[in-house]
Amino acid sequence: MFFRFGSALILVVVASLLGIFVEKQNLTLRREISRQHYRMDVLQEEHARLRLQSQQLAAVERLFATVEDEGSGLVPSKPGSISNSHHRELFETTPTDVPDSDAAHAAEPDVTGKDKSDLTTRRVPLLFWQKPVADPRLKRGSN
Amino acid sequence: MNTSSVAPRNRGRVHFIATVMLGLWVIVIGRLCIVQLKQADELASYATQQQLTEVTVEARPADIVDRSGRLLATTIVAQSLFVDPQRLDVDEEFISDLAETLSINAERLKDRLCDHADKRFLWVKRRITDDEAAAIQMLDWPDSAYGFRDEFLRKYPQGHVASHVLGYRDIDGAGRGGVEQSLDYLIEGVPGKRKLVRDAVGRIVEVSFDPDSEPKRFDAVRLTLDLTIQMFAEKALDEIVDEWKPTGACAIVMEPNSGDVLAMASRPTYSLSDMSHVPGNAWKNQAISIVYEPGSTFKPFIVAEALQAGLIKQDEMFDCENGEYRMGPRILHDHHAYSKLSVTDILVKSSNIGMAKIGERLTNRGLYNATVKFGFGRPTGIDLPGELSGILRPLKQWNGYSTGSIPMGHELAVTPLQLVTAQSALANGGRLITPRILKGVQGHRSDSAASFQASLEDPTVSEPATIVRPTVSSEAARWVIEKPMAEVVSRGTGHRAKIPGYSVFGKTGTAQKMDPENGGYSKTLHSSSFICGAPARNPKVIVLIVVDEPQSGSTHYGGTIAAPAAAKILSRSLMYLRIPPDVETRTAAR
Repeated sequence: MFFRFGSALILVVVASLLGIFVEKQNLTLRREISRQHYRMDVLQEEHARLRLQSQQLAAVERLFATVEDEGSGLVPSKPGSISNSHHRELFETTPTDVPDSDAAHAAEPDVTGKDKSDLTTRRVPLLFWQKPVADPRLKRGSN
Repeated sequence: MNTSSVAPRNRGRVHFIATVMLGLWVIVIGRLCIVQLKQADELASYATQQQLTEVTVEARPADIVDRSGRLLATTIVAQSLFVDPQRLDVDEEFISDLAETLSINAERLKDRLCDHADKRFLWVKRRITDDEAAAIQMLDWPDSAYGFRDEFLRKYPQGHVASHVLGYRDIDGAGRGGVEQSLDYLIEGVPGKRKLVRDAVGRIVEVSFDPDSEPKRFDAVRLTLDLTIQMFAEKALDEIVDEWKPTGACAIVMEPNSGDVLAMASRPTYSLSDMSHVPGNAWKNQAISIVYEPGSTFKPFIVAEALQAGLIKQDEMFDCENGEYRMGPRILHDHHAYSKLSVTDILVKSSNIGMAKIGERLTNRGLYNATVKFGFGRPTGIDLPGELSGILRPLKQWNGYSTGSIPMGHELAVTPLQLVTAQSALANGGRLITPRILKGVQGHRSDSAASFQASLEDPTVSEPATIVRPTVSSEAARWVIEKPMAEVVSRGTGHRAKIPGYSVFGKTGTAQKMDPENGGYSKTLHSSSFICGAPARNPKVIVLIVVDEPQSGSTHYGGTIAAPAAAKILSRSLMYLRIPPDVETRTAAR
């Protein structure tokens, strides 16, 4: 009798312990899932901030100012030949120091008075598009 | 229970104890049955209320990108500071420190705290920077007197570029102006819900995610704008403003076959990065929210309509009366005295008398039909708020003066977008199409609120153009573009718009504006415009520049003020879009 009673008791205890273990695992997994969702939110936010920063650094206004400052050469500029001020501005900005685009625009060299020359003598810089030297259309026109 | 072994005198005690124990068990089991069977639902609901909280999760507004995917607007999370006025002592020094940290007025802050001293929640400043948030936490706050709440902050990385097209989102996240307002139904998203599980002391122990309850949003809204072409237009307008000091100016670049607006710029302008000091007149998008008399830029439409109706021939000559022509009580003048001009030369020389004679053949009804046919007098339907319909008086109000005025672009008022849309109709073979600013959306959003179902995976694909109506035949349209309008540039008033290697077509416009003092036409106030496109045989780009009331300099002609800038935009756009030259250029003599 005592054996049956003890066995039943042990079985109940073991089953309860198993249940507690499974429940704890379940709770742990659910907490981990919650944490993953939270991490996803954090990463999405981080992605948005970094994308914003990269787009601000590569803003079209800044690229225009850089290209116009270098002039309208047919050959792309050599690496490192960007003027010091632009180099500093483009590459030494800290993650929290996002420059105000208006201030950046105001700091650029004043180019509004530059280009009033005849369109036939000034070409748009290579950044956008340039006909290849061996273009047959050019050769036809030279006869 | 075997009581036989128990002494008789103790049997009663055993029975009594057994009965008591049984009774206790019956009570316990009975209580369990009542709790489990009768009160189960009520208690479960009570537990759920204690443990579960449902919170609304706002959807992050969709990004706005240009047609190439470059970012125009995005959203990040910023913290907003609130205080509990009941727990905050209005200490002068603390208020001063707080105001200085947040760069706000200390007196006003103190007044607000005093006025709302009985409240438990008061915003101090919303969407502060990370540096401000860090500095706030360094201050000596009373316990539980403040807190931060995350809110979305809209950022515009391109500064003032395309500011009128984009608009902005206000302090509550509502779109104001531009596509932020007109496409808000695509941008804002649908909030979701999440369930939070709390423990006995109120701490959150679990966040329950249900995919069906998550916020729904599109990843990005893609516009037809091209940021590079937009910069071309912005730079050109800046140069015009510097040189001619107008009260306003605008530039539009459009692809005539699809109606895609590649650029839309307006001056005066403002920067979306700094909205604290915006002049009152800078809010208006001059491309759609102002009207002006188009002047000579309207003439090609009348010529095309007259050709279509068979009322004139391409090679017909008109007597331009040596610069002076009487139409009833009115005498019309040309800038120069011409005797006979062909239809081509009427446009090339921009003869008002020649146009008046063409108008007489069309009659007022024909002129009215032409005007309506090309979309004037009603909004174009572009997805931007604040578009005006222009001014076109009903036909019954027209008279003999109208027959001479309408063909030269007076007695009606148009928006710049209407004009470039009508010109696109001529350029694409006679189809009036709806200009569009929205190219598509990226991502998926499965809710009925979003009526725009297209999900753009391939940025090169877009929906076909919406054709409003045919205007004139493709033959008439092509002839107007390739002959008279091309010769306007090659030898006429638009010669400053020549681009080597390209066949450019265009038309200048110089219209007197109304004198506000006497109601007549002013001799000093003008709107100068130039519309052009290339290549003439297969137009790919149309550019319009309108300059309102140029103040500087002695001239006011569209060919002088607007044509060079329009040509610069056109030239750069053609090269940027890799549109090959269509005209052989002669190299310089060796």
